[in-house]
Amino acid sequence: MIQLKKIDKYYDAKFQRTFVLKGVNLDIEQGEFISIMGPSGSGKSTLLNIIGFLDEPSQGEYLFLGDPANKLKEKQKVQYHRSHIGFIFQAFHLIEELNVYENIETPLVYRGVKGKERKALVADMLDRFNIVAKKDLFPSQLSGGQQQLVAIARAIIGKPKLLLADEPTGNLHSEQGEMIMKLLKKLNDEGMTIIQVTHSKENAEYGDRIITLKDGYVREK
Amino acid sequence: MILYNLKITLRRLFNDKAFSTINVLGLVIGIASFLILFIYVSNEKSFDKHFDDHENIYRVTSVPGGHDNAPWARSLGIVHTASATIPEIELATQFTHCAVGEIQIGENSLQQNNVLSVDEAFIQLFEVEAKVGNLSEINKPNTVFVTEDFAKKHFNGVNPVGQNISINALQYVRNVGDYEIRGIVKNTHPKTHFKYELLLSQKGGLQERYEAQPNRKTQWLYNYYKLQKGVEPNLVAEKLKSFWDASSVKQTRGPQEYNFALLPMADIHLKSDYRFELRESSSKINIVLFIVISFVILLVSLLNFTNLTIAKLIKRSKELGLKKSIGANQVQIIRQVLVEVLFFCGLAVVLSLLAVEAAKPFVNHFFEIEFNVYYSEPVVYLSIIAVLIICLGLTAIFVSVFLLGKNSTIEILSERSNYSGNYVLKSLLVGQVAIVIILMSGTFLVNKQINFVLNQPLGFDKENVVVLHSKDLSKDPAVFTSELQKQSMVASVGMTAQHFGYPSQRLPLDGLGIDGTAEFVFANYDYLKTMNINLIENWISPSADTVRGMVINNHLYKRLLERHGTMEAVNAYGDSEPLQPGEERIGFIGVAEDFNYSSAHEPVGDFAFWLDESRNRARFIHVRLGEGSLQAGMDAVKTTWQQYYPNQELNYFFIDEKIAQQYKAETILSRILSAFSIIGILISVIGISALSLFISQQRTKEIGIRKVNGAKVSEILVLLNFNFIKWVVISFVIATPIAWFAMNKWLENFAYKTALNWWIFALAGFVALGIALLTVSWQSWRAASKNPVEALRYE
Repeated sequence: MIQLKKIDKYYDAKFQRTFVLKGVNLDIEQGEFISIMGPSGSGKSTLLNIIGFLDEPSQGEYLFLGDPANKLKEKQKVQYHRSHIGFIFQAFHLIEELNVYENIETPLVYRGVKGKERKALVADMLDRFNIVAKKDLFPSQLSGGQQQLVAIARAIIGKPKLLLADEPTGNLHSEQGEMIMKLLKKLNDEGMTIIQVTHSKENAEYGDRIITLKDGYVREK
Repeated sequence: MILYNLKITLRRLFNDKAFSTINVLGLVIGIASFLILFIYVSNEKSFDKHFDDHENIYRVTSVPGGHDNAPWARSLGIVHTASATIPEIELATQFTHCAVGEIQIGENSLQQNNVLSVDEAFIQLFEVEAKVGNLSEINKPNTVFVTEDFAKKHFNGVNPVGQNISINALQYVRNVGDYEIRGIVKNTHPKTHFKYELLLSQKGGLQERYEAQPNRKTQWLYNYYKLQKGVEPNLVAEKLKSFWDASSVKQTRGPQEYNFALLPMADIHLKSDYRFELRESSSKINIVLFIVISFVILLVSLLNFTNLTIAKLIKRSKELGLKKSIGANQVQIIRQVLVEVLFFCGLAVVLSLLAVEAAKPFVNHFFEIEFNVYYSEPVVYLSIIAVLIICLGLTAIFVSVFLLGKNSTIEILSERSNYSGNYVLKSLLVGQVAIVIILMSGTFLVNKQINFVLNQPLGFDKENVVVLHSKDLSKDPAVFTSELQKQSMVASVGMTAQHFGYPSQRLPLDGLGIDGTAEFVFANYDYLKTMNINLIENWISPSADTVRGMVINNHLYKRLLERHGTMEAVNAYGDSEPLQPGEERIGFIGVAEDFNYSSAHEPVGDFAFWLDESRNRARFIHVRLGEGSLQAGMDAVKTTWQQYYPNQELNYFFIDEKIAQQYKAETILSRILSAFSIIGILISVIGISALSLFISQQRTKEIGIRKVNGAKVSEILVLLNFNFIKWVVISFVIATPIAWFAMNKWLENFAYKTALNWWIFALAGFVALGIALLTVSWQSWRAASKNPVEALRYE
């Protein structure tokens, strides 16, 4: 599904080139659950962002479903965001002005899904995550775990093939974190490809494969 | 999708009330100011355009040759006679206008403004509509038509037709006679260059005067022609000139040459500022300046709005980036932002319309303009649409430039963009502050010029002089004046037929061997004393008990000496000229210092006082009150008036106010500029304070780190303020040359101008700097005085 070949990411400052990623090779098959680990600044998030088309590699080749990503136009990237990729962030990134229902609904709005269909899909999702009672609440009225739950619901409502999670439990209590991890595992069991970035060894174990990044290099275990 | 965007926008509006209020308020102030000025200007520009054939209607003027200064709106009677011989003229009317007269209804004697005596052509030309009665009766002797307002005011619903009004005094005539009301006409359209309350017939009481006009060189009448379509007005003017050249009137005493001209009626209100205008005309330069100011204010508020919108976007960039990550494309995001902008603009427009309505009485009172919104006219809606388009357009351009400039979503998500490094924001703020500096320096200069013209030596003393308008000349005014003089509060009393600022009469100078005409007024000797007009040369014989003769001003004196060498030679030349029947010789008895009879717009010209003691000089009784006792003095004058003229209302004014009125256009300009500079400053304060709040919020972490490492609050203030100072300095550099150029242009309108000092610009710059510093410091201080632990935890 995802093939990274000799991916470099660097920033140029006056006389110095700072590498964030260097020569990263990675193959990810459909249905895998990958955990990316590594110390701060090792390039984990950058790697995730490149995979999710939020950032571009400075060098190297990235094939997504066999298509070379560096040749993708903005339009196609938007298309992938709509139908193939879902994101979850450490800071949840819910839209403050929208309530739970509307936050989950947002991707569908951008996709141009009809109102009736949207209603059904969102209702399904609320039901599945057991948050029907909270649908009219705003993010500030929810606990962290609940917010992340909403964020996941929002990320998967478009039935993406790939779910990218950037430290999904980083801001949560361990109890809530465990709940989220179990949920991710369940999604993976249903066939969704998941790539997560995490600091926690414990959480990394949920994955089928752990990739460790250090100073921009990959050390796979 | 639109609905979805609208929902978010509304929620955001209520969530962030402070910001929304500030943002909308700035815009409302700007749009309301723009609408007021713009609609006012378009009203002024559309004067007289409601008449069907306004393009073909012209006012005819006849200006005596060699005296292009201060032309009159009135013209010779022969202009009307000539119209019958010029085939290109479809219709011609002549009429007289009395600004302030006196009428009597029953026992009540009242002051009456705007009395016109008109003919049937007037009715036709100016589309006078009757509500009651038949307007053709205007041809019958001693008939009068009254307006709806007049009927309501004086007859209170009772049908006035058949009642009599006695016309006691018009401008130059008294006891015109009784006029029978034959009907009611609609009020004058508010956007007409004249106004009438009474329309008198030219037949009957005034007939004799009308009949005498074609053979005189007096300019008593207003003449209007309606030309056939496509006729060149110059052609008609030439034919008029030929008619004049062939007429016998030309050869009589007085100027031989007249310049005849036809001015399109629609131009009168804005472009003509002649003596005896039917209604105060607007200053054209003001109108141009108002348009400029209105757009400038709109621009300032839009720059501010855009600035705040972008600043807010930066703050919200995370949300926008997030939306991209869940599948929104660039277009959808821009559309969302634009829906918000449109919503804010729409809201602001609605609120501004309410604000305009609420501010209307205040605007009219404070600026002394006649501002009204005529909702039936498309210009109102067009300007609203224009505002919306400009708002949306301008903001859209900047916002799109800003948004499209960010290509990497992650850059937005990670908040790598910031305010202090953003050039769009910087240039918007610089533009805004520059405009405010221009407005402020303009205000300083206009005020300085007004003070200059009002306080320059006038050649007479304008303080503490009250002018009484006496209408009943059947009683000897000398008795009244000597009675007044006995009051201890009264310093002196003089009489004149005209007062300063009132159009004077013309004296041809050809009898003295020089070109042109001098302005002159009838007065008595006490008048000169009352006004403290100094005589440089005084040839009055001390033994004479009444002073008779001419006192000329220094300007004319010098011209006469230049031509003749000595005063003896001047007198000898004058004596050698033959006298026309009915004329008498008047000697020169003194020379007065030069003074400004009209206004500082015009240089001093030839001027003379014709001194005598006859009664007709007593139309305006000038009373100098003793210093410091204005109220008591006025009471004494009123009591004496009551004793002497028991049934007459006392109309009076103070001469210094009258003189200030000559600078009404400048006063209005000064007030509008002051008001709009303040508005501009206000909007900028809003903008700067919001922006500095954003910046200090963004730099919270940096501030915290600096404080942990030992920075003092004052050092952090300096750090945060320095950026803003830089921007203000750049604005100042941009603004100064523009302001200097504009002011120079404006000053060209004056014959006497104040100096364009450097401190005007410096002051404006310092005020801008001071305001920016105060605003920024307030926000910075709040950020700087925070506990650093708190500041660092913020991350």
